[in-house]
Amino acid sequence: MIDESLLKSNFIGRDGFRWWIGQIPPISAMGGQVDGEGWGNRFKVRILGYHPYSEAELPNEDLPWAQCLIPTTAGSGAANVSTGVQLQPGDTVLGFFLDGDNAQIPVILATFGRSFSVPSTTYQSPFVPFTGYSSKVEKAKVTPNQTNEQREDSNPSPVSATQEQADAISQKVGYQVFSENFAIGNKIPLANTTKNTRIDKIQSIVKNVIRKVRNLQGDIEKIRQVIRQAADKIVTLCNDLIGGMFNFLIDYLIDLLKKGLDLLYKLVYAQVLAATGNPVVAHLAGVAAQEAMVLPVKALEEAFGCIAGEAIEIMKDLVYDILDSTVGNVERFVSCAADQFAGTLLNSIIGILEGLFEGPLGAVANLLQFFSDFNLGNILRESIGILSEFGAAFACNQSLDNYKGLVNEWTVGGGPSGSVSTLATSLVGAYTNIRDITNTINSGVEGITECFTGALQFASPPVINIFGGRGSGATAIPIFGNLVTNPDGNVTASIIGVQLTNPGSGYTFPPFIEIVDDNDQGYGAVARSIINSNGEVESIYMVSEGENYSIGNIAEFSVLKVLVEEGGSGYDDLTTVITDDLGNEYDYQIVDGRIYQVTPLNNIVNSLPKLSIESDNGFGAILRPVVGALKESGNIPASPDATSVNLFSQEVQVSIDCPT
Amino acid sequence: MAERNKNIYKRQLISFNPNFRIDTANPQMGLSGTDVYKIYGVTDNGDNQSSISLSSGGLFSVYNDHTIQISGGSKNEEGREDVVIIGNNGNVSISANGMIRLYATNIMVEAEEDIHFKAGRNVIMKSGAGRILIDGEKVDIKGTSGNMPSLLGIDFTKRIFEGSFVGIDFIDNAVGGIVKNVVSTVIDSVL
Repeated sequence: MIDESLLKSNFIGRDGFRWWIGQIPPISAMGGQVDGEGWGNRFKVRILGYHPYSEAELPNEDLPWAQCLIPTTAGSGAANVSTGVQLQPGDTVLGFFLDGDNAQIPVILATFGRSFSVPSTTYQSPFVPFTGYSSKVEKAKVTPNQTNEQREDSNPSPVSATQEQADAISQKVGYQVFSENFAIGNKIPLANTTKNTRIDKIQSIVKNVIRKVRNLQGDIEKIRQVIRQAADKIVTLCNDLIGGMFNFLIDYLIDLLKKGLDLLYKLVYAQVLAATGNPVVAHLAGVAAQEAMVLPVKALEEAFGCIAGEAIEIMKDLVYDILDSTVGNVERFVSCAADQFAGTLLNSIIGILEGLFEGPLGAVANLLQFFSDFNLGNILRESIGILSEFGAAFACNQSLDNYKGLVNEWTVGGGPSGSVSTLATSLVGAYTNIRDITNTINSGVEGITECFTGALQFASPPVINIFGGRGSGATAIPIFGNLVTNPDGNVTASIIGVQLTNPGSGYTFPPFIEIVDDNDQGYGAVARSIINSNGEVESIYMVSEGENYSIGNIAEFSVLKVLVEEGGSGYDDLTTVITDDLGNEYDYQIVDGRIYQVTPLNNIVNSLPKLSIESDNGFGAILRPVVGALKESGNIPASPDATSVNLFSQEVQVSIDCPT
Repeated sequence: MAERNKNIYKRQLISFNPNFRIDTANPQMGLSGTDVYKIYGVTDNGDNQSSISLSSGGLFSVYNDHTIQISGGSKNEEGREDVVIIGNNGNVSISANGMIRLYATNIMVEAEEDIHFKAGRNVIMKSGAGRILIDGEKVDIKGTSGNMPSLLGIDFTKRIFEGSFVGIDFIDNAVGGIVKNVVSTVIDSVL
């Protein structure tokens, strides 16, 4: 018998090259190899056509080891160049035998990507696809999708959106999507000593706590903890609020009591003169009356310092109660919930201060008796609207321009938000009745629920808030496109452009464009502005169109113009073609290899076009399309038109009462 | 009207395991647009997510559920800059829910124009072995009570009695003398 080895070269490829396809068995079959006790990159493998379908005939543990080849881009480990092998149990792999027909030394060359057709269930039997998760690689907080296809739903990543928005996406796409971070969407107040942002800061906390509580999904203990922390924070901010009120009140009282002193003297003088007929005695009596007021006035002066601390102590539980009621009654975030809270809080502070000042002001009643219309509550309400900051302390002729248009609030993951502090006075006025409600809470009577629930509200489209840039007056409205009918029948859209309705004035740098969605539903739209030499906003262009916004204006729009942000270089008239992904063409002008001007050719669009430049040698140009209404089509309605109302009016959402 | 155009083809994902991945050109919309790239990690129990990402809206974000630590200069000589944070054109804003604590051998704050200190409650300045110097072209003090306003005659009481028939001496004697105790009693009784 001739030795078999004599008939073979025993070199790979010269004695036949045998391909195979096989499956990596469960990790339990890998023994010490997966515990760091083996060698090389090896996996057990059950090979189609060579190994039986039955574990009874060939247990997984008895399968041959297969080495893994590593692609040239991965590195062997030499010189510290290395990429780990990423095969998992259940993977279907392609390989060959190093020993040809002997088929005893398999090598894994590659793996087949998992498609959506491949089941990812637990291991059942050989050659049946199963999950790659194992005791060594367990599921984490990533959507447990185990596919590798060019599809949106393949191995989805956590999104840079709030958890509520991620939940909404989950409903839409049919699988669980996670938020990248719980902080996303939180409103973060920024320092500002030149503007009254106290109310903004409080509202930010309320917005954040509402969001946090919803994320906690009914975990009562944690919800209480979050509300307590937020309440403590709000109470801390009340120090500043009360301090601001006191500044106003003190100036007011100084003027008032000064007049009171004068009137007191005149009253006593007149009475004593009438009784005695002696002006000297009358004068001395008047002076004595004024001197008698020194101690009560001094007591009032001292009381200011004590009352602030006393009020803060009283407010600790009260703020918790108001916040707890607010959170408990808000099913869907709306900004007026924060407004309502702020209004309630302000009136509560006023109520508490009225009570605490009763004694000290009673001591100077002799001076206040001349002012029948004196009402501490009204004075404090008046103070809220004009809480001053450092601005008044600047020396004459010094400019405050540097402090105009500061961003007061930052949305985590979103960007800057404009201030709404001018609403402070109106908040107090709008929620004057709430003070009574807080009183009922104090007395243990349920009442706030009835006041905060019941009203129904349609989802309203987002609005454009233009702020900063040291100017004012610019206004604009969003333009919608990319309409999507969601599984719940609700129609949402992207914002494909922003129509400028007033250019404003006084801008020295481009103002911020904030897209405010009171429903906290839409996300992702980012716009920027450019200004002209007259200090007006000239254009607003979209950087990102976003999605999921309640729709408003859906009329026909076109690309009004194209802003050339960068001209690039190397462009020529012969080979350059500018188009967009909607099939539109654009005229252009090239100067010295740079794209100088791009002109749309009356291009009607229903989504934000993405411009592309074909050129043999040119590169680096950045073009920004500005979408708006055609000039001939007249004004765009600022509110949802009849068509859009029909589209979204079916969605009725529960909200809290909002002031009109 | 069409749904938003999503370029799936451009997306490239390397997911090393359930705990770490690099995702580029994912068309999924976020708060500041789609992701240009995202490097994402999460602990086994999901307790801590961290990520670094750039959005199409131009926002570069660094997140971590727990502590973010930046440490530099362990091999620098004294006097070198260990950590430098630069805002090239605009502002640098730092906000904390708790305290912002600065500790160093020396702390320098310099502004080309103005420096603002504002506190909702107290501003306390204390020097140890040295002094507190307030030096300005114009120096003003404003207050309702305290030794400085009282000394300057701008406290609440004196401003009210200014122009009345009650003299400053009377007020000082009344408030600083025996009557001071009476004031305290009055305060206690009214609060």
